[in-house]
Amino acid sequence: MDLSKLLPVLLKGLAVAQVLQNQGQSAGPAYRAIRVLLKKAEAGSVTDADLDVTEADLDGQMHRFNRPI
Amino acid sequence: MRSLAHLVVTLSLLAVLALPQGGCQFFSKLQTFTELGTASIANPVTKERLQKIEAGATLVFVGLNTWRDACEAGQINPGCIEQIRAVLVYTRPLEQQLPRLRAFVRKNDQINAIAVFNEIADLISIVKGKAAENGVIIPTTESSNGPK
Repeated sequence: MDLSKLLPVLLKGLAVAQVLQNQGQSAGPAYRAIRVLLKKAEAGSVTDADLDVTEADLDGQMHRFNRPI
Repeated sequence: MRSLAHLVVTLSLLAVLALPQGGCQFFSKLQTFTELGTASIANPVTKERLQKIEAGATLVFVGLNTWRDACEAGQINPGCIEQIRAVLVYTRPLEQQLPRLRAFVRKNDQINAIAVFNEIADLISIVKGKAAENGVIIPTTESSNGPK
């Protein structure tokens, strides 16, 4: 990746982290969990138990967004 | 009051949080979430494929929830409520379709799994498009120029 293009992204990312922190949120856990899932999916070693964990996480996110506004 | 532009920056750069965890390689992998293609008998919905679409959808909803939270906190334009309602038209069916897809995949009922998978992939694509129309970029792809 071109560092000259990455640097502005990183600088803006600092602002992102601050906003998320202000909102009491962190996307870090979600990204980490997805990274683990991807490794298993690529290895072809996905089990029903893995699916259960993914489904619970997605259902929670989906339910939160889908509530009446 | 924070501007809409600030929110756009916020959502489009959620991705930056992942840089310490693998940087560009991580984003390249994320691209597979949104490029699952169309399911068919020749390209069935395996558990691995289901896992990928679920993980991709999770990432999309993390972004959508950030948008909604900022909207409800009054940190962005007042029109965001209507914009979110427009997106809900497409996200609510996802909540109904996903359990069906999961059941079909577990039973290896590929005829129905393929049909539902393609519907879900279309819905996710529409949701991302609707969010983008409102300046909310869900970061699940990477171009050759870097994350976007």
